[in-house]
Amino acid sequence: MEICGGHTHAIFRYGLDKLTPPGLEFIHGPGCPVCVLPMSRIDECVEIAERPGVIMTTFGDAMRVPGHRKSLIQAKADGADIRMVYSPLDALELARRHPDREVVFFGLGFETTTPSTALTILQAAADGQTNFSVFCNHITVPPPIKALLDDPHMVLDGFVGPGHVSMVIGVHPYDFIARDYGKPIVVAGFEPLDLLQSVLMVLEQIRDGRAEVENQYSRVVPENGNPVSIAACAEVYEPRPSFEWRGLGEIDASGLRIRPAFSAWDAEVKFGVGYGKGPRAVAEPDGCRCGDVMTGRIKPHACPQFGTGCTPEMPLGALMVSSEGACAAYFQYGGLRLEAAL
Amino acid sequence: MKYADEFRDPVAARGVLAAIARITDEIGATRKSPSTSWKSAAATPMRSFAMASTS
Amino acid sequence: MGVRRQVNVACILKDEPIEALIGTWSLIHVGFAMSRINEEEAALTLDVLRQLGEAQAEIEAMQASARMLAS
Repeated sequence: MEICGGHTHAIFRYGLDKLTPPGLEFIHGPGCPVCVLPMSRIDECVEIAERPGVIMTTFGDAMRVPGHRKSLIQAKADGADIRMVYSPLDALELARRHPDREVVFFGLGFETTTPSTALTILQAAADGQTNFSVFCNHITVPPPIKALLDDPHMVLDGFVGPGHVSMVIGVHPYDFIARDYGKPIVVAGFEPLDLLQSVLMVLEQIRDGRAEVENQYSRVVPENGNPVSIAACAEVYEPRPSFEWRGLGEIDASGLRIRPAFSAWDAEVKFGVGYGKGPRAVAEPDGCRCGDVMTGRIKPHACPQFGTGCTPEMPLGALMVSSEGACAAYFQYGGLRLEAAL
Repeated sequence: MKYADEFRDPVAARGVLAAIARITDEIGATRKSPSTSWKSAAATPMRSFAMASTS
Repeated sequence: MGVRRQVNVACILKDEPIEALIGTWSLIHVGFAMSRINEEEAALTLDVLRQLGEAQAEIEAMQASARMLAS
């Protein structure tokens, strides 16, 4: 299993699944942050965005993720002030320029992105910028991997570990995969040769009967990660008791929330939405099998909605929204091969 | 971008792919392939992963 | 060519003046420099890959030669 959505995208983009022998199968893991974001969080984000005076800022790839009511792009069309930004720093700058407005940043992503919002909150706190807040949806990689490994139906022989997450947290958070579950994991870069070499390293471990954490992406990933990033995240965030993942359900300690010391910059506190504020709907759209795809039970084209009721232009499920989603990758790069196979 | 071209070297890629094919054969001769196990797993009813994570 | 943009370098700055970063390569993510690219490690990884490539090229050359002699 390649855990990271960036790896899934690269595997399809370069056709690595077709270059490698048939006995080797890539299972696409839950590592696309947009894809695992539950509909209820989109609903809450839309709810905040529709408040008067609010400017909601977000990374572009979250715009088309469907909620129960609407996506952010639909909310924007309906009049909400929603703007795409490249960096949370741009959202903070927007707050400086619009002191009469409440600027909210839709913070989502794994450990790679978490330090950027932590440092932005620390900057806002240092500057006393109180019309800025973060709607925090940051999640962490190890808990869902543990959940997958604990499932008795899950049959995986090894992992290609996420490169950019590891650049922040280092390689040791994966020790449990090798030590407790006896599975090899190799942290990998994103170029085609990085991925192939990592697959080779996983296979060598399997052949030799080893289960270790190895680092193929050593040019970017230090063994202990990035201490400044880790410290900033620890200062600003704490684990939630549990967090909902689209297709996977609630997973213990898999999400982060803003610590009470920084609640002035926590959009959940400021706008009174989120966990603990009422019953949460968890249903997915009818016929959507994102959960089965995400856990590797079915391939994307086995979903009845694939390519008909669910396309990148009109996504039904989240895996079709982001270019890092397995369904979008199949749709974009797998079309011709699929037709040939039929 | 630095190191993009270096990590797309076709000669090196052929070497890695040949090594992958060799080892896959070696492993395949002695153990059940992942895809075989996977098909039997897919035929079983869906379980909740939230349950799996808390069990 | 490329994009010019202001980035935050807090994560990659050690005990050194900011000028020390001039000429170094870094991975940038959403406006933050996240990791300096380690040239030595990159060279080591590429060496392993190139050796695999050269070994395979040699095997292919030997096979081609054997086929030629057999025909």
